[in-house]
Amino acid sequence: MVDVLPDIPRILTAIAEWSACVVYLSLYARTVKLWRLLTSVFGGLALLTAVQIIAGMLPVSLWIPGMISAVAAIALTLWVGTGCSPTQVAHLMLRAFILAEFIASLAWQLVVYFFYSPIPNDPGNPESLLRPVPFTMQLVIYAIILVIVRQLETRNFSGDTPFVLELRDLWTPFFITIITFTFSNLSFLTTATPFSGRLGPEIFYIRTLVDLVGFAALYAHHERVSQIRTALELRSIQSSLNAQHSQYLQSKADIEEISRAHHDLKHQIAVIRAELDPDSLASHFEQLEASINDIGQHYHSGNAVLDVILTAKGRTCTARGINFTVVADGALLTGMSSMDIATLFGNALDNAIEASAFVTDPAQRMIQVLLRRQGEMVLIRVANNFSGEISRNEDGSLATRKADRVHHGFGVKSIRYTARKYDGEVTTRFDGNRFILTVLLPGTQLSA
Amino acid sequence: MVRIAIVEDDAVSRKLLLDYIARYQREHDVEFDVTVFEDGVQIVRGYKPRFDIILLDIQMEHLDGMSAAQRIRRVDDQVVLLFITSSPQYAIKGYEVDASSYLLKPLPWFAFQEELTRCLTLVERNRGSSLLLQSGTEVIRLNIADIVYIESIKHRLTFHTLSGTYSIVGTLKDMDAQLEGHDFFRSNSCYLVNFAHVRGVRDQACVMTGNVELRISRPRKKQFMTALTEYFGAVS
Repeated sequence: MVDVLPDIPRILTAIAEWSACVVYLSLYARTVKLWRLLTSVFGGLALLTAVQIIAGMLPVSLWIPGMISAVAAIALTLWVGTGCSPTQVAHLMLRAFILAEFIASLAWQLVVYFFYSPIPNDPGNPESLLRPVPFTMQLVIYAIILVIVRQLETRNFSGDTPFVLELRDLWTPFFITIITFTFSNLSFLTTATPFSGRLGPEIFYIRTLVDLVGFAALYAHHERVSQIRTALELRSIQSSLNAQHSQYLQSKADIEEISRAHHDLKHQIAVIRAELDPDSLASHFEQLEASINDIGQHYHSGNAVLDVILTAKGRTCTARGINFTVVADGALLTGMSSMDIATLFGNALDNAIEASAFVTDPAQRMIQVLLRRQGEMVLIRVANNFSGEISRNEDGSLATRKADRVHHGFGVKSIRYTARKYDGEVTTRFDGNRFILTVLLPGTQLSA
Repeated sequence: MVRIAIVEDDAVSRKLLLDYIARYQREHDVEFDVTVFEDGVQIVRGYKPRFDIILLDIQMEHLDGMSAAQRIRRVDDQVVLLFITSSPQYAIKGYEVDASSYLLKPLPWFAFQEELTRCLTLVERNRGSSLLLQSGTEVIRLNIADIVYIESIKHRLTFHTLSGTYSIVGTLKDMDAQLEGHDFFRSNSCYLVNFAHVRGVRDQACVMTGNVELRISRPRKKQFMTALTEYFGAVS
């Protein structure tokens, strides 16, 4: 044993833990009620300090329980301040904990290097490092690193975007944290392992390095999971786009077929009528003609693709007794690809038709479509009646009643994905017993 | 009191509409002042903006509903139009006269009720409320619907309205609170924009009535778009 170096005072550990929590709290600040935020920020400081000070007074044998209470205090602070689910809080907790370990270790290592002159075989006087200059320097180091980390974490955590990590993703971070924590602190517990540092300053370095690697591993794990999720989602959206488009092509072929039949039949009727005595058969023919007119009914909105979709979905509505009304200026969609039109309207109408199936009283089945100019923008609104309870997913998006939960959610997701291509926005809202989907496109990309 | 006009040439349909309106008054405890016209020609002759809602049949003998609506719109951009038709392809062009939906014959009570309720909320929104401003010793009354946006410069607020600009001492924060429920949005630290006057969005700016471009602060852009979408979805 050469030098015995002082370890980090408890108060600094508490500040490190608290400031790491604040970084993650700040990422959720916009979506959380003010009282939650304030309670967690101030309450968290008091709680974490208290836990560290009490743990500091405990004998070494109770070191592990002390650490566990500190981690629990971090979790509690994050839970109050973010209002997230237990799984999300657990992820945030592991992240904040390792981050706190890292900044505390790094700052301490630097302060010891610059300000501490060791006396051989003396445990030293750690209080000397709590004097204003070294103390401030540590806080500055915390601040610098935390600002960087906050920038890096904005893309992974924020109140707006749904949390990608799930319960089953918790195992890897959990083990990374345990291993990081064990190896970084091994040298402090005993020098009698092959992994313990023996030279004074080196054990600080080992700790900093292991914590850094641990944090990097947690971050990389999150990135990886996000990437996989995004790729999967994109693939599903793509397949849903393709499905709508091929459905559109099919309907188009069907409708052309029917139009041809309609035309032929009309022609035949005219011929027969000319040949036979009109009196006896006139009423019969009129009936026949009326029924054929129904088949031939088309929507003429000014956009051929939209007309096909409206006609096809309109038929489904007629068959299911849904009161279907359309006010649409199809000319507004000139600059939009047929695939995008099919996606927007196909998905919106499919969802509306499906929801109508749950309305028990046929008189209450209504779907209204509106497509109009709004200034220089384009407004699309699809409203339908629904009945019963609508459940929402954890992140506030709509949950479906369909067995195929994941796929159905992509209906609205595909609409949003398509709208975003045109810088547009999509909202869904419940108004009494009406469900309203609104799409607003700025229109700058549509005026072809 | 809500003033409703019915324009319908078929006596049976007219009777049904009157019955439905009577039933609506009973069930929803509201009072309507109903005027009946038997053809489009009748309502457009000497038309003055005095109705809140017009129920218009599309297929009529002398002047069809769509043409009547076009003539009405020339002098009245406030009235809520609700078409009634037996064939949907005639009503699909309702957007031309600012009608966002229609009723299909045979007219079911439920659909009628839903649509009339929707029209009534639009009427409610259209009814102009006003804002009183203290400017020095003078009190200015502004029609809220006429305010395009409010700009904050130093400690003063400038109201850009359709009829001119007015300036008073005050903060946007207080004004935002005072205009709560009137669909105004803080697009950045110095503008409070009236959604009703947003005509477009280009990159980082919104285009207002009168072609003024106002910057939307980057962190508020997404929220701005969502709120704007919600707003237009609700008022159409």
